[in-house]
Amino acid sequence: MKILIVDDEKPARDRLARMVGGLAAHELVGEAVNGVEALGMSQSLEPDVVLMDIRMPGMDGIEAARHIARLDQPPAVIFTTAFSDHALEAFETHAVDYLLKPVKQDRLQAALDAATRPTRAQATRSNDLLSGLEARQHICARVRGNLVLVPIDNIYYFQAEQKYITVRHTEGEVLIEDALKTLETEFADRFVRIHRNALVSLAELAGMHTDNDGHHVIFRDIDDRLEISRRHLPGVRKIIKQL
Amino acid sequence: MPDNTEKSITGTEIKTYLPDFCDGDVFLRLLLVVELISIVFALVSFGGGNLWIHIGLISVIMLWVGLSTAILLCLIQRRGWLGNHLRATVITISITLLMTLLASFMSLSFGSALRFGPTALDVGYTLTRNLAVAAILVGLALRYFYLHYESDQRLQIQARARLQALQARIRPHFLFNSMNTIASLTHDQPDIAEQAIENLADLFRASLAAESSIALRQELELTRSYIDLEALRLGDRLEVNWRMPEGEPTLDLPALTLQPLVENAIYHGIEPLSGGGTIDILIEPVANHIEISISNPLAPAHQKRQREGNRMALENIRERLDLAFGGAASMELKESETSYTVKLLIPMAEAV
Repeated sequence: MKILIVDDEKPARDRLARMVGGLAAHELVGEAVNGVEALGMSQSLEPDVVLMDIRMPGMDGIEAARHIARLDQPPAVIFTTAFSDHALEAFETHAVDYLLKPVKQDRLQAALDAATRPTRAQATRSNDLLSGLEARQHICARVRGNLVLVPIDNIYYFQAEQKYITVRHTEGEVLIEDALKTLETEFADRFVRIHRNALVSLAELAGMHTDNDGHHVIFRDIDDRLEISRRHLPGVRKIIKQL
Repeated sequence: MPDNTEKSITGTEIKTYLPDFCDGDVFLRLLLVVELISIVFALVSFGGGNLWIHIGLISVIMLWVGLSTAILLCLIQRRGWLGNHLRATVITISITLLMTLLASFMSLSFGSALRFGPTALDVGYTLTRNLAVAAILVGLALRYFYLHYESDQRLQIQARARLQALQARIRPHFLFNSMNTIASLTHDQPDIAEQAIENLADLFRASLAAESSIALRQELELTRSYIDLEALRLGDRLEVNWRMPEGEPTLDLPALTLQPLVENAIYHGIEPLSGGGTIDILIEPVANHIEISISNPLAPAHQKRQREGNRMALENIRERLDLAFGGAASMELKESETSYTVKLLIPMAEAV
């Protein structure tokens, strides 16, 4: 199987690389130093298994795993970590394995031998499990086959249109497949629902505009206007008053 | 993380240096001491007649003062009215004197009715004498309580320092990552692996003696051991910029004052940054003090982690500096958007 190693610490990568090198059935295809790199390499190198450290700067292993789970052919993710914290309890009940550092050779072999690529459905389910943990710092979208990561800080709003959700951010727009409801729960402290089809960033919200067409929210830096539904009007009013 | 154990040790109930007078044990011991003092007074002042009656009379008066004062203090403590040290002192002295006054009047009236004890002629003298005795005794008692409290505090702070130092060492993040690093190096660079183990041993040894005080030179050595260990793991993500005066200043300071600050700087400042960063360590003589400042870059706001552990380590370092130097040493924290600095000012002359 093709293995991708992800760890921000070089000695840790070296050790895993050497151990994988000693296993005849497996082949090392790449090493990534953080979650963002891991995600890119998961797509470009198409590994079967990702050995993923959890605590990393930038994007941590848990968030990277959640993005990876949304790939078309997600690799199996095996976490490697120095300690078993709460997050791991979630995995123990699931198909994804985890290894404690320093990893033992036979334990690594057993985990790799047992690993098979999860189906998309399994991966999504494990993603649901993960979504209860902590809000992501990025939204991962695909633009012409390439993965694009949009930091949550840069997003103005999410707007649902039939099958897709438009993510409007500082660099433009991307489409993602997701449910507005899940996004609303995940980012409850940073986004507010203004309409059945839209979530707006609290940080970017500038105020409200009212005319014959009804009520709309306006933004600080862009001219987009989004309609506020009657049902959400009182809540939005309250928030705007506190701005 | 050290939260729970810490809280139970720190405690928040004990506010003043006075013992808990509602505690039966404290109460009984107080009465015993008062009784012993009464016997001493009775023996000293005995001028003929029945010794037992003499002892009895003095005991009744003094025990009454002791008992009523303790009960009143217990009631006041229960309601949390003692507040700070000063207020507790004033209240205790006032109550004692008041009770002494009451007891003296009672003894005067009963005494004349029963035809013994002081007569109405020396009322003024008796009152003054009793109040003076009471004032001296309560003063001594308060001084004793205060010293007792102080040494208790000292022990607690030192125990906490040791506990925190050990907890930092066995923090899984540090311990297992260090071991993993060593496991990796053992193969390719056994010499460096050996050094890493030596450094790890130094750190553990120092943590076991965190309550003592050591020379600045030793503390710096320990801090370097720690940095070397972390540098193996973090590679070129960690850069340390030392600025030291010519010839290290000689001074003693509580052990593990600097190392935990550098550890915080790495944990909160360097590790969350993908590209790493630089820690500045500046040591500089200023007048008759040594200024030590440690600064680290800060990751953008949304990456900031919980700083509970950090606060506790800082609080303990501050307490130990107070303990070692009185008010002469200080610690100052400065946080900006992009950097975090801890600055220590330690007196050179009056080392521990």
